[in-house]
Amino acid sequence: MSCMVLGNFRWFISRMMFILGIIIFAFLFSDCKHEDAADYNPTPYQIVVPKYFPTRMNIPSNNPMTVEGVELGRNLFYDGRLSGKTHPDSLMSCGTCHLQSSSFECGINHPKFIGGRTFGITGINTPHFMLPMINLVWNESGYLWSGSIYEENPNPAQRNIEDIVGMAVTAPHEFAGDTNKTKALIQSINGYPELFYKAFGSHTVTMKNISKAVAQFSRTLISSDSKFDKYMRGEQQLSTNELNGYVLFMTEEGADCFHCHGGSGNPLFTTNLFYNNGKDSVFNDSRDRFSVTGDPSDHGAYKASTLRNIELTGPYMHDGRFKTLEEVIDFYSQGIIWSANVHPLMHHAYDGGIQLTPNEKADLVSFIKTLRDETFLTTPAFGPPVKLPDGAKPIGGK
Amino acid sequence: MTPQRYQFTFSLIVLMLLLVSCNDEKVEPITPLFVFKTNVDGAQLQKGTMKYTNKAGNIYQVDELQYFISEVQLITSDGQVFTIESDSAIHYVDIDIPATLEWTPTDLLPVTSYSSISFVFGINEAKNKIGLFVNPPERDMFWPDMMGGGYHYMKMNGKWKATGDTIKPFNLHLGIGMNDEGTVFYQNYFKVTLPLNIQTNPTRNEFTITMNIEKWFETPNLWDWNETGGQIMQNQDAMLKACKNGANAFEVSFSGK
Repeated sequence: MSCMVLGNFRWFISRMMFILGIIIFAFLFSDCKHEDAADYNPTPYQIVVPKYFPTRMNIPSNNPMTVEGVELGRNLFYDGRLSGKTHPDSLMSCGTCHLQSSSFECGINHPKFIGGRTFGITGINTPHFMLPMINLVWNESGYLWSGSIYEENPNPAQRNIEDIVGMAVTAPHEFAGDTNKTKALIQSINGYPELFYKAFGSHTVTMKNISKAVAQFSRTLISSDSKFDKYMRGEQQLSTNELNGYVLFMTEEGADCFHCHGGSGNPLFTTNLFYNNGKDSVFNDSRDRFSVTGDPSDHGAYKASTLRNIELTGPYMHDGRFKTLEEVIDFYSQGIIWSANVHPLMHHAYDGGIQLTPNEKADLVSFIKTLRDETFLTTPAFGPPVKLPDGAKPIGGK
Repeated sequence: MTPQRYQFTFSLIVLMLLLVSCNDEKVEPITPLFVFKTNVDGAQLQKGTMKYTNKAGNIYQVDELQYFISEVQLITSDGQVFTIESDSAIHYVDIDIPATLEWTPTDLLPVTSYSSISFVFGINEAKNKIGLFVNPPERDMFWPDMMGGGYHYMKMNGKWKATGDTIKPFNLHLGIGMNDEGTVFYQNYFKVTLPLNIQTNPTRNEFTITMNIEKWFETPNLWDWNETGGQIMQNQDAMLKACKNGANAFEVSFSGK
């Protein structure tokens, strides 16, 4: 009898302990959640759409822009430890190559990347020359020269700017790093966990959130204040030479640039589409537009780059073959090579180009230089922070 | 029969009459579906293939085709006109963008018999102003402001075998025309009217609008690329010739159930 009572008592105690354990576990769990959510209240970042600019933006639904996300992204963009390495020779940030003063390219006069030829930490050249980072939030047609990063890509790791960040960390011709090392290193740096918490509600650094933050910052890089923008807004007049160049730019019997590079009706100054512009007659680049579409007519086709700040982003074309704007215009004027792959909009191709006179070429250059946007090139919010979260010095930038 | 039973029976009859009457009158208006197809003399267009010969003997290929239609109207057999007004009443067609090849405007049409359909090829003068479209792909149809502004009505880009077997690009681009001095502008948009003899249905109502590319080169103006040259944006005479031909370039068919 006493054994039965004792047995029941033990059973009762063990059951109570079990229930108590569940209660304590649940309490701890809910407490953790509560702590994480206590002051996580990011402020939405509103992009102000300039007049005539697209109202539809390429912002993934799983990465809404916030003030905190943009600020974190700005720090990471200019932090050489994004490479996951700490040796001074191995520090590399996005800002190492993407300089604000060169419209987020390295520029042709970069002291390290001679002639604008970029390479990664280990010295391997990037496959192509750079494209500027301008108005990326309005690109719906695919990023990079071939447009290989696009929303409908069957590979979910190659769909948007977020994915390019991860690719930069691991690519042999860029950071040549390891995402595990990168996130562990960023996690260990004073200040970053708090910034991640403010941006994403968790102190834990993940590669996904690193990528999201840098992408958010990249989407803020908006150029809409060039001399031409001011002309369109009625704030500034163009000179006679600039106006002459504008007419050439916009007319079919002139230089006919606008069909691919935009103009008054498309202030991005690119359609963001892909064209074979008659540079070659033999096509063997494994990273041209054909590599994305598999359409034979896309051999030798590349993205029409934006002409905003184009005077600062030489050398030109995917392979950097032209050093100056004048060389580019000479090419379009007399140097086009006809092939079956040349895009039909290159309608002067069969006689070598648009056949501009020296004065017309000069006027066209004058107009194109009105697309220089000093506000974009100097806005402090686009440049490196004074110091990184732990007080370290940013890498690259201006 | 008690008074209550009379009352009940009377109410039942009234209710049934009401229901029958409602069923007779309640025919819901329908949402039309417009489908856009492109062919060359009846055969589906094969892009980028130098396999077509126009009436003037030019061998040609088409690589890209983009155009606007607007102000679609359906005219009933008794002369009533129903105008499609949703989506700015303007639809963009691009043979490379499947989503543009079908259009379901939100306008509702009565189920009845229709005798014709009409639309404007391009955009009328009142609406064809820069800034109407700020997003791609429509945005990329913009027409230079110094040439009248607004948007291309059409871009047909391709290549033809010119004299001496030289392959040359052509850009059959239509929009606002101008004189040589750039002082006078011409609105080249035009209206296309196509006969129908159909009865729409309560469920699916599909109007297929087909452009026959070859018709742009045939009637009333024989089109020879060797004479016009490959580019016509600054050639009002050529644009006008093309527009007159373009009025004959469309057919419509209907299917419904």
